[in-house]
Amino acid sequence: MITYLIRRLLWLVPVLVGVTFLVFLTMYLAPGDPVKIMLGPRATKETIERVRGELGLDRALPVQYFSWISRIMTGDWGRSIQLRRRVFPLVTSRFTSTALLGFSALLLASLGGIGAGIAAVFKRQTGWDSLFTFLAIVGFSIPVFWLGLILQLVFGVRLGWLPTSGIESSVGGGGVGDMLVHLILPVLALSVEPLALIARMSRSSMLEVIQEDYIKAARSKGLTETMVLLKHALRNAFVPILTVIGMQLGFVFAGSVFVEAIFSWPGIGNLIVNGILARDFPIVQGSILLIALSYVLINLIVDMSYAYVNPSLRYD
Amino acid sequence: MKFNFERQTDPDHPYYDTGVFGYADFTLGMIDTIEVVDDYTLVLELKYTFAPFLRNMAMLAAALVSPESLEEYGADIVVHPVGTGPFQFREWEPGVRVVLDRNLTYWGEPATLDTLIFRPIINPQSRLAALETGEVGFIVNPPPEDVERLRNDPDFDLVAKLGQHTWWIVLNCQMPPFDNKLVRQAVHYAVDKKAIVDSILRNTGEVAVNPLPTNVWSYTEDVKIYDYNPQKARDLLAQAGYPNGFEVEFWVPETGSGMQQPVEMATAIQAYLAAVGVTANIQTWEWGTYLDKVFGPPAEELPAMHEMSWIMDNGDPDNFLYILLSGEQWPLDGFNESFYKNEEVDRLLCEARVELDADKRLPLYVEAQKLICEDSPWIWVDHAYETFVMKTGIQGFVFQPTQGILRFERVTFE
Repeated sequence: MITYLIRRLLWLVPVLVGVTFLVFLTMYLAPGDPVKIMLGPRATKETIERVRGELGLDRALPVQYFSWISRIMTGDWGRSIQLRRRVFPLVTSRFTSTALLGFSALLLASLGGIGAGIAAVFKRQTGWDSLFTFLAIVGFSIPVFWLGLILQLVFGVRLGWLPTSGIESSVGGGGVGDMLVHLILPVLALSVEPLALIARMSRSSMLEVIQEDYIKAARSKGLTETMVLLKHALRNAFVPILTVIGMQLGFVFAGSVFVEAIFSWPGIGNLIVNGILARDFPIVQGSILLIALSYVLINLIVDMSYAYVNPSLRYD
Repeated sequence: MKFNFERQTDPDHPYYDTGVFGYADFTLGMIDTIEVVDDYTLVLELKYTFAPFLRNMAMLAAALVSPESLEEYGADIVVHPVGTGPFQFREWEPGVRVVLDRNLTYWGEPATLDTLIFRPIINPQSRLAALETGEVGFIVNPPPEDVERLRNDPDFDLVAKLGQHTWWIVLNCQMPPFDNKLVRQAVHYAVDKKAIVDSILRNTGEVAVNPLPTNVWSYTEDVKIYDYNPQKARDLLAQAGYPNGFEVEFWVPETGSGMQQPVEMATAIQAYLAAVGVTANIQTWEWGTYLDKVFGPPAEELPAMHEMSWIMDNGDPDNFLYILLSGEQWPLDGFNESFYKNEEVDRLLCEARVELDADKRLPLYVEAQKLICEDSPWIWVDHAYETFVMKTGIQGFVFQPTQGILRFERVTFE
């Protein structure tokens, strides 16, 4: 187990280098000049050249990349070209907001999805099951940005129950309660699609498991259907469900770009989009690095938890 | 002021590396020497006569920051700005808010508001939702399709003010077919600007009859006016030797500062041109890429048509007519992207920018506008309104069209 963990952690290094280099290359090859965008249309040729030199953007790509990497190692993430602020605090604070949004959505999607999947198995071969399948298809077909606007309109503007934007109230805001209230609509918008997928996966995985002989054995012992499903079937059906949950993490991060834009959630998705539009290399690089790191780590945690769910899986 | 100006223009200044100054040369580049006479007197010697200079002194690049704050924080002055305005900075949390408090030591009449909070809400629908739920009291640029409804809603006041902006199609005057004035006039007549303003922009702008915005000094309507007239367009095309029209490339950005609804507007213009036999092939670009593509290359490498807009810097007609239309201002020296050149226009514009007497400048600009409108180097389409919506009861808000500055220091609410 420990050697496996160490091996996986060592793999982190080439993965992160690969990801950041790809991003670096893409940004570098994309047309559009960060210096011109930063200085605006009225800057003279001389000023543009001078600033390009100051930012080191006139050097060769590998030189720029290695100088960036070595500064990252020493904790210097650079300064945003556009916002003129230090990258590290900016990126980490935005990342925290996105992580809060993303994990809340994933938690809701997992609990709701597994719950709905189990419920569908209980009611299998009834009208409820068909309704479930229908809702699940609707759920993962709804575009996030549309759902976001509708939620905003219904619960914010029409009913007036919930705030529609930001992470806290403009006046008298702050505090955990205020933030949770602001979190509700974005989390709902973001969780519907993964919830539908997880629910479908839970249902089909459970249906497969209950054909197994040990389920028949459990039934023949006289256990109730509830006991059979929750105690014997669910745990064995869990590995594929867990895989889907892990994979949804990527969706949640990608989807957060839309949700953040609609709900003005100060997350990293927004930061990256603006960073790309402004060719703000340090911001984009720093953000992607952080996301890649978290993605790899979380998938590692998911892999490790297989062993917990299914003790017959062992890593050496 | 000396410190602030030199910090931006002198690369050897100790605080030059604490910022980026994209507007410094443009705003202050003509200053030769700065002499401090006493606490309240400064003598600026210019390198050449430049009539609009005093207006430049009201541009943002001429705004002052505190030298002490700069000394203390260096490049981090962006999070510790100290200025001289009616409000003072409290905090800036990127993506969340900027908070300003009343400046208790302001040199003028103190602001009426204790605190002013700006929040970034990028999506126009979400911005409106935040206003309607009461999360904010004031928004800029509501979605155009909601403007009519908001205008009639007793809960809100909608204010639409003309900025100093023009949206146009650049016609490449150095390359066929638009090197021919008749062809340029023809396509200008072919476009129904009013329909574009009514149905695409939902009246968030007004039809342009002149490249100069209507609220800029020297503006005249005593020029050749291109009202929608497809028959006249066809006649002019035939007269120019294109009875069956022609095919051109037409570049369009997907979004962009001042570009309003670039793709929808381009599509409409494409249809209007098709109606008179001109095929315009639209190619769209991401804004950053687009700017790189259209600013810089010589006329031969540019398409026959592309979209552009300009928001005025200093409120002087020089800042539109000379910079955008003088033959001396071809890129990269300036922003005359249609590579338009008319010797007489050049003479008038140059004379006007060194003439200090406004009464003498006026006829020069009027004459230049007449010649430019006759030559039709662009298809000028509209001047945008800046639209603001606020809760009923909020009063005293002032919009300053030059540089689009929002002033809240006299705002009161019930």
